[in-house]
Amino acid sequence: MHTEPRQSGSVTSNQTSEQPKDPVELLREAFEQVSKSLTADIEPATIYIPDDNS
Amino acid sequence: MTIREIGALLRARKTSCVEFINHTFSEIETHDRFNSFITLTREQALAEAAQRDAELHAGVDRGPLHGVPIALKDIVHTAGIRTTGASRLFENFVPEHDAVVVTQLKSSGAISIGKTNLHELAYGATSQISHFGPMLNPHDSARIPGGSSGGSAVAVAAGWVPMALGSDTGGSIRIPASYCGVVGFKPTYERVSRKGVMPLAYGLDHVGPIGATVEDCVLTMQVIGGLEPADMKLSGLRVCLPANFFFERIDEEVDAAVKNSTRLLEREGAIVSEQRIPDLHQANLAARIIQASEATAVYAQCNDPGMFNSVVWGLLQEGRRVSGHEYVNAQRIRTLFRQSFNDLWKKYDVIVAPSTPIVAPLREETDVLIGGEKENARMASTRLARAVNFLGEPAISLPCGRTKLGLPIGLQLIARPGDDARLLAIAQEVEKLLAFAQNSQVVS
Repeated sequence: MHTEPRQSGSVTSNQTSEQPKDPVELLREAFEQVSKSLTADIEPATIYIPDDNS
Repeated sequence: MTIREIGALLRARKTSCVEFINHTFSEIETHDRFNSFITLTREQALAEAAQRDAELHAGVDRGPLHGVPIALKDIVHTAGIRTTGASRLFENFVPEHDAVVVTQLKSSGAISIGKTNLHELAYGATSQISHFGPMLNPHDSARIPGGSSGGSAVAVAAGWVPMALGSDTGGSIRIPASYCGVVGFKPTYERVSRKGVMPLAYGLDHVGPIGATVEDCVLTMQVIGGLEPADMKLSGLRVCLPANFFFERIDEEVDAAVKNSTRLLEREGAIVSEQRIPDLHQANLAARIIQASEATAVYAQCNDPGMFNSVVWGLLQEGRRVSGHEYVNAQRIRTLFRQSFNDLWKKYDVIVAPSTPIVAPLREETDVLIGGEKENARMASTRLARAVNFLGEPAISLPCGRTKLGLPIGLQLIARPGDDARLLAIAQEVEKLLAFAQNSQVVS
């Protein structure tokens, strides 16, 4: 029996058998779980605003 | 050729800046079947080359980049030269002023030969979406070069320039460097000016070099990042080999090459410790929330979908659905990760990891199989890079071997914020070690 060797990163493109889930909802749901670790004392990270030429 | 090699030819009068620039354009015009440039600036480059020649004849040497051809990702503003972002939206946009990095590079004597192609608006990792057509990987034109700085990586990999500027919001310097077999350096956040560079996500954007060698990145960072040269020895170096995240669900050949590199470091006296690190899957989620929100904010006034590729337009619409509290919480998660990594850096000098879990996918691959699991090719490409933008740490991708198919594999080294010079010095030592090992056939 001939077996095709498995290529790393092999093609499985354009499979449409499953209806893809909404990527934003998936992201928001997953992020909501992460956010549960936050307590009120944790403040947002600040973004350093540089001088024009820095 | 490297910056040093070109500089040596110019200073030895074996060629002139004008001759070398002319040669560079001939090579690109003859051989660029990879679509790496949007705009070539021959007239301006030759005028600058003539000035650089006159300076050398007069004994004026601006330094290592004097007369050396470079290229700029086409999101970097260039006065009088269109800057398109590879988009229809900016197809005819001609900036009035140079970006700060362009001014710095011009002052160093570097000569820009043109503006490189990229994934539209730098919003993607494949470089297959561009108003000016897709880019191809020079190692295998059936494969993507990675993105978004695809054209810059291709121009360096093809040998046309020793350095091309890129930008990195979720891996856009390191991913194409990994897939094209060149060196890509993402500096510490805000180390290099972003002024005059089209933003994608303000809190994640970084500007940095893609070079033929680590030294090409060092020499560029001395100009655009105020970098002071550093020396590092591998002996005694405290290396973190992550026990989680970075080596989960990666291609077998990538895993082997990166771990082989780590063994070589250990043989040189580095102290390698396997260590669990904070869960960067969570950092990736928060980074995606920030990127979605900020990119949508940048283009919030643009209401004509016809000005965008449909995929990019879709991403910009997705950002509208992320709420304000989610954005703030993502920045709060960032605070937690900053604290965790500050603790990690008390124990280690560098983290060793793959740059990408796979090598360059085929152009038609929307999904890839890794260890039997299907994953979207774009998400796989960014998976090991994105969190480092969220953290702001400096990181570099350098080639560490090839697959049986001859495709380059990228090694990622990450250091603490502000340690750009030390990280580059470590990378130079690793590069030498890998070159020696490859020549000795230690690394396949």
